[in-house]
Amino acid sequence: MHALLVILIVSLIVFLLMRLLPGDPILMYVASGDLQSFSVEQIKHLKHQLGMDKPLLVQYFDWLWNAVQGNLGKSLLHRYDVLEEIGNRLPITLYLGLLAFAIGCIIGPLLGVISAVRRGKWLDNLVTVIANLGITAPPFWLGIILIYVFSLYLRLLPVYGYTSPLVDLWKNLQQSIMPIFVLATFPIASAARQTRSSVIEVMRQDYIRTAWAKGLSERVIIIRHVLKNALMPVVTLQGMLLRNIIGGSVIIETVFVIPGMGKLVVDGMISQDYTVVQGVILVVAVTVVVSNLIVDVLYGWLDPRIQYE
Amino acid sequence: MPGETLPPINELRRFVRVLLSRGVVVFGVIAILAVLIAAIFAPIIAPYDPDAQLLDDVLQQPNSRHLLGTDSLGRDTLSRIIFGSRIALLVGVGTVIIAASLGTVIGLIAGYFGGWIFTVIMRFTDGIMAIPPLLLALVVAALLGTGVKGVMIAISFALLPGYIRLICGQVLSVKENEYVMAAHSVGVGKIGIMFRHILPNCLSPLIVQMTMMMGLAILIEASLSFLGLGIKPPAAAWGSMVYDGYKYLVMRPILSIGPGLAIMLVVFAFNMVGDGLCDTLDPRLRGTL
Repeated sequence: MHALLVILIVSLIVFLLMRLLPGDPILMYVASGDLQSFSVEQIKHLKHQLGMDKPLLVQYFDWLWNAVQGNLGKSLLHRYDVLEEIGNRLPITLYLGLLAFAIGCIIGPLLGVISAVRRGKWLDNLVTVIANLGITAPPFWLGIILIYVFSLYLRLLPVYGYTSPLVDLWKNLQQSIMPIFVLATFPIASAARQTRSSVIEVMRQDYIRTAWAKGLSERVIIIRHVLKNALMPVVTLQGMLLRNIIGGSVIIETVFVIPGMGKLVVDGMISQDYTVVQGVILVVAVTVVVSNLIVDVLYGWLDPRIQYE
Repeated sequence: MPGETLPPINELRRFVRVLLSRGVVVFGVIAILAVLIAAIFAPIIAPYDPDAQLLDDVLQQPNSRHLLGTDSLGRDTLSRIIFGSRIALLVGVGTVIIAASLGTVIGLIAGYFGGWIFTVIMRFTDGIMAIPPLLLALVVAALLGTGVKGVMIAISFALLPGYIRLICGQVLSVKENEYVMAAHSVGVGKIGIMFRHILPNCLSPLIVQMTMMMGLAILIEASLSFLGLGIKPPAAAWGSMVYDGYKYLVMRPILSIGPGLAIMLVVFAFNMVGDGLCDTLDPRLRGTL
């Protein structure tokens, strides 16, 4: 129910933002066709046809009703069906994003635990430095540096492009390594920092001291007693990270020229194709809300106390 | 009496000492100060006018006259990086002040009054938070125009929900304290309680969040400028400099690497100082970050 309400509010925010943007969508629509053949009356008629002469609230509910039925409208410039185009591009963004997310979920906490357990040693210092650099490196810049080193200098990987793994898996892997690495950098770094911080916090607890006093081995203490408690804040972080990965695809897909949702929205913004931008943001927001819902469920599973509250 | 003024000074000294006890925090403070000095005294420090096109010196390699070379229009890269610090700091500090001020007031109202006011504000906050900040800033920047002012408002809007949530959460716990009840019982008004009794007790996490967000704001601005939807050339914005340099990556990688390193340095510095402040203001966290 809460998630549904949030999606409704997002749809309202997106709709209002799009209506406030400069540039008349009708004129964009006309400009993309044959400009000479439209008279003022015809433009008026077109406005009526598209329902843009109705009050704003009515327009919103019309748009929402259509969106619920799977109709996000047509691109103002290219006249393609927005949902269909999103359907073509979403798998690409999700493929790269989810792989990056999975890598972040595994490597990040792993580095964090190693760092916390070896606190103050060179390994800890190394992980901390890498994590801090990973958080601060601008993704577009990191992408450019990788292209320079691995594509232009060492000539090991292609500069840009995307091939479906179903068409050519090897080519896909070569093209995807750099974008996935850049997308995963922030999740790895922030999950490592968060895990390190919460593992150190948990290791100070009395029950951990008791476990040590009982003579349990370090491995058992870390896996059975520390990890489950320390991973709680990390799970919360994952919901936010997925949002950032989807946001990050905007940058990555532009740098590596990947035909995903991020590229679609940037191209839409540059060409003022607002139906496309509106549709993409709505789909992104729904994806984020659903992923947050999954995180909440996972959270309840990890900490049963939450279910009783 | 002189004795009365002593404790706060000692407290401040202790605060500074603890804050600067970690090497990376000292590095962060020095880096921020250096960038601040570079921004203020840019016209004196920069060897060239950042917009001057030296047509005989187009795409120069780093040399004694141009320490970081020149771009495709013959502009000195080092000078543009130095002037770029002005935009970075203005956007970083400005957006955070706007977002934190607005977020604090809205968060205070939501947390203090509760009920339907809380529900409406928090659901809208959840709604805005469902849109990735970069995407949101992208749309709002297009709405307001791609000048420094438009970009600042856009990024502030994207960062706003974080502050509302933070302050609201703090208020919910602080308002249960006995001193708030005591203030109520002696007849202090709602505004007085909110701003004089509750707000000061929410400041520590707010200061930490503000420092951290300065780095994020600079990153978002650089990303927008890189995409061509932020601050437009010829203004010396680091993000658009990286993009311009990208076209000459094979020939002059320094054109992209230089401004990128500048972004990284500033964001790193703000994050480290944020970590240090978090450590100092919350002793329980000391050593965990």
